[in-house]
Amino acid sequence: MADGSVELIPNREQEVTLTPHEWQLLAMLFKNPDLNTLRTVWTTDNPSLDETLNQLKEKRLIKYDATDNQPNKEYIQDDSAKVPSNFWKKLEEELSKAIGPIATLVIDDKLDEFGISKEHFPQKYLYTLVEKVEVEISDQSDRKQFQRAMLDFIKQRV
Amino acid sequence: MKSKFKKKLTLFVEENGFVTSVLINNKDKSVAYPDIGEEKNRFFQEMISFFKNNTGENAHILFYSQDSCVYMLKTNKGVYICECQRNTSPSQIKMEFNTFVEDFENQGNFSSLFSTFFDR
Repeated sequence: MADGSVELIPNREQEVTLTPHEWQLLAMLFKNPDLNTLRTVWTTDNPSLDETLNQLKEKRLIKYDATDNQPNKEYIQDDSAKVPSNFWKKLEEELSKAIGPIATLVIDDKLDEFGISKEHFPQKYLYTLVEKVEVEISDQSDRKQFQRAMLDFIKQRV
Repeated sequence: MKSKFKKKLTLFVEENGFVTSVLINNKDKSVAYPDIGEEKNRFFQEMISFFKNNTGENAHILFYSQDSCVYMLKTNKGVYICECQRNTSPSQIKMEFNTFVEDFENQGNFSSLFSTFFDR
């Protein structure tokens, strides 16, 4: 089964009883078979999407690997070379010049998209991170300035 | 090739270890550094022709071969190709090469600059 997908198991001979949330999830799965998409449209906290998925899995109605739940495993696995701590300071400093004090929040938000903390962030994805962060800078010249500063920093220090 | 512009191109290739070669095309003229050989040049020319005729301004594309990845960028002044090692981050290629192209195009009159590549 591909990461982030849920597969329905057909051909059950016994009767099945579903809770309203389980039925809701199955109906949503019909339209959104991709788990990541499903997460964006599942609005109930109680039960959570994962709880409901597990219930359906226990009833042997779906194939669903709980490890799929880990965000962006590919980023986490590649932790061979970590980012020096001064990178984060520089990133925040340069971003603050362009967008002000919300820079920290933006960086945290982008890190969330990777699903990985600063401490474990692999060097390999620094350029991708810079690219993701810079889209939040609306002024084009500020954006270019930010990009150049970060490219220079990465080249020299990382 | 006049030294000032040759230097810029040479420096970019040499400073960025992930870059294998760069080709710059303007109208019907192309220059590459380092020499890419006839076969690859012919392939790139076909790609340029396709790219010119099938994309709008400021288009870019990245494609992978067995041992390299090729980033193509089209501006209103020319088509640029950056051939890189296959394992390079696409974001890195895009940001570094776009910056190079921007600098390159901003150094004075582009047409005269480009013609200098062919002055010997």
